[in-house]
Amino acid sequence: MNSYLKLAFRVLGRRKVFTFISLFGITITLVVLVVATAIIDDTFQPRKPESRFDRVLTISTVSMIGPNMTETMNPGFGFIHDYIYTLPGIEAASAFSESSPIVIYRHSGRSEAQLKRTDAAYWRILDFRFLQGRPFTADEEQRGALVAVISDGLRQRLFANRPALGQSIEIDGRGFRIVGVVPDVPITRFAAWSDVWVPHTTERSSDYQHLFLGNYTGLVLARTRNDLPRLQREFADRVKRMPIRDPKSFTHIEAGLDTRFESYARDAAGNHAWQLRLLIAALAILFMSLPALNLITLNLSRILERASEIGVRKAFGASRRSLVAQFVFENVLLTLIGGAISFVVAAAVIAALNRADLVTNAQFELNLRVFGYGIAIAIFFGLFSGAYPAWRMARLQAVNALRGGAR
Amino acid sequence: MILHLLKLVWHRKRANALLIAEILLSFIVVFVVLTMAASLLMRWREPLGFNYRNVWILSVASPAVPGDSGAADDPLRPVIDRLIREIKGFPQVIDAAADDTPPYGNATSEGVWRINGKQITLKRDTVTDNFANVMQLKLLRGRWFSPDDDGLAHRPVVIDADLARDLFGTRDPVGQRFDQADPESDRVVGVVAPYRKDGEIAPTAQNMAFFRKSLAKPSGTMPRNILVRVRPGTSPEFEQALANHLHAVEPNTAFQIRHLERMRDKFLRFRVAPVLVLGIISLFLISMVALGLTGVLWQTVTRRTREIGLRRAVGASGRSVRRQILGEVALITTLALIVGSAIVMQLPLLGVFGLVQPDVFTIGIVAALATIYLITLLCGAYPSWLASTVEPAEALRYE
Repeated sequence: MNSYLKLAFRVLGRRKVFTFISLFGITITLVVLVVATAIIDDTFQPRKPESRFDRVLTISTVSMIGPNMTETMNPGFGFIHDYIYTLPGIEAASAFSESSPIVIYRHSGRSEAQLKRTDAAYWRILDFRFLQGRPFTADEEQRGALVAVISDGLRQRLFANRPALGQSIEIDGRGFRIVGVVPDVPITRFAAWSDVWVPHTTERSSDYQHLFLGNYTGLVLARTRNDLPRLQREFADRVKRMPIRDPKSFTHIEAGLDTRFESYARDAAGNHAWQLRLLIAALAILFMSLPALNLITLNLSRILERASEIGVRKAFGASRRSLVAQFVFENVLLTLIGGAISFVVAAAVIAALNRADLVTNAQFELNLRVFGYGIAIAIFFGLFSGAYPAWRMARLQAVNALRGGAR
Repeated sequence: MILHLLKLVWHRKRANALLIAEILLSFIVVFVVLTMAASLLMRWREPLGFNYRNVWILSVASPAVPGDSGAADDPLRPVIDRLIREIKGFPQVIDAAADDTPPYGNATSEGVWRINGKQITLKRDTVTDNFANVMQLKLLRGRWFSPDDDGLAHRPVVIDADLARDLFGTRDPVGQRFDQADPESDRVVGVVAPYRKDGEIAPTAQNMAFFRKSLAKPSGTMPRNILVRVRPGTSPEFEQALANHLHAVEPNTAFQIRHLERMRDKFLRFRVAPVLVLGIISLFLISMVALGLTGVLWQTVTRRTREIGLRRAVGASGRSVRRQILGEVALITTLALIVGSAIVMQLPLLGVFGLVQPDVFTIGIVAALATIYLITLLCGAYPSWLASTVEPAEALRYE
């Protein structure tokens, strides 16, 4: 092992231009994959304020299906009230509206922000860290109190360094008192993303409370993860029994309580979660194939350089397998060096992405998990691109190789 | 000469097959990126059909009435009517109109029309009479809607020039039934210049159809957005004053005011950024391939020193050796590009690029071919020069 390592470094140092070309390709490939991993990881991993989402089910679409048309919308508040709030044996259930744009006028400036209307249970399912103040309470929800929780970014825009708690902001022409401030939420956290949260009971008319289809999303927090399948079955039974208001146009209703990954898959493909996983893996391999081909042709063309070395080793009885192992090892080592460089570059790219705020409020990061995935990808790439050239090298005839005449 | 080169290439078929595969993949990547870029640039240069500057959108937040029964009155109609009157009363406002799916918004209403066995996809929008003035549409034929249309037996429709061509060909669309199979159908009263709701990045030929809503008489679900054209340079203070005034007039209605220019910025940024990221990644990929190719060719020349030396020894000039190496590169590239073009040509047949016009597709292929030839020949330049400097005496001794 030790001698393999020494040998590998000697080989890499021999033709610096080629080592540079190989490393350049490897680094670019791995930077792209590591950044993509960081983004996917950030999107799918439970993280504050959605860190309990491994035992949360969501419902965000309801489809009315008929022979001639299909209408797909968010559930209305009435739907969630009737069929989600009442699920048995759950820890909490909540309804929140899609984030909608609002304008807050203050002094002579205007600030655009996102507004969510929700209930008190929302604050028990999502674990927001309160920088100041508190969430609104069930009592305030009941009364339709004009209170609001705002994000730190909005607080900064509206009040700069003056105290915000207890201040009033104008939404829809009414004054809402600020009771809490929470950190900014990235747009990728669809349940948490907003700048202003107010009780749903502050809507101007109460029509929404009876709507079957509307612009709300339902959340269910189960007691344990093992409880999720039971709740999904229970809900599926309820969907079957739902009355259809317009039986002439629609024959049945489709709706499901999804885990986080399932709901993305439903959005992306209207299908099951494993297909999304497969798609991500296939895209990654497809993306790797060009750099891998590049590395393979480069490695193959360097066989000649190693011919006499291979010849000597073969003449002294090295098995084909040990030669293959050595060359693959060298290639993996090269990709790992490329991997190390790419982590540094990826960190810079991610910092730039965060600064540019391309994805609103997102703070992607290179954590241990992404690091682990990155190493795995680098090793896979090393094996993927090293196997064929190694096999070709090991097949060199000892006599030809010693003469230096590889073909 | 070519046959001879072919033989040389065939002689090293295994290594060359990998090179061909690599060039082929690069060609496909370059083709996809260049086609996207070309299509984006060509779309950007086309006129929009409206003017997005100095337009505010006042969106009324109110749950839509389930079902559009056509004749039933929307309780929101008098509210919208009153809001528009109040807005138009301010001297800073040029005009205002209600609109169902404003430009640069996420909402779009689409329909499929069957006509003479042909399927035509079109975009619909429902607007009130002053919409054309607010958005500064350009009328090409006939007339726009007017309040007198309340008395018509048939609903009037205004279509854009693209839809007029698709529906009626060279005939004059004005006065035609919108749906020719249905005698009760709406009538086309005017044609406007092509209107692209999704702005600069939208494909041309959106096939827009505008339907009229009356503010004065019941006509089903009302549009929930009011577009307001303000005078250039109107201050933000006016926006707040307007909002306060309207809240006082309609205390039970929630609404928000946004600026069309800001919506445009966000809308375009969100859609152009992915193309930009893809372009940057591809640029790196291709530069990586170029470096790799240079390396491989360099190695090949080193390996074939004796062969080249022999050619020089029997009288070949440095230039002809150089031509041979470059000729081999060009041949390998050509083989890869023949396969690549054959693959890419399948795309229109499969209908994958339904949104890309034929001329953009052609530009994409030609530009990609040129790019790949340029890159591979550049990659061959240094190795072939190296080959031409081989000294016969040195080379033949080379071990």
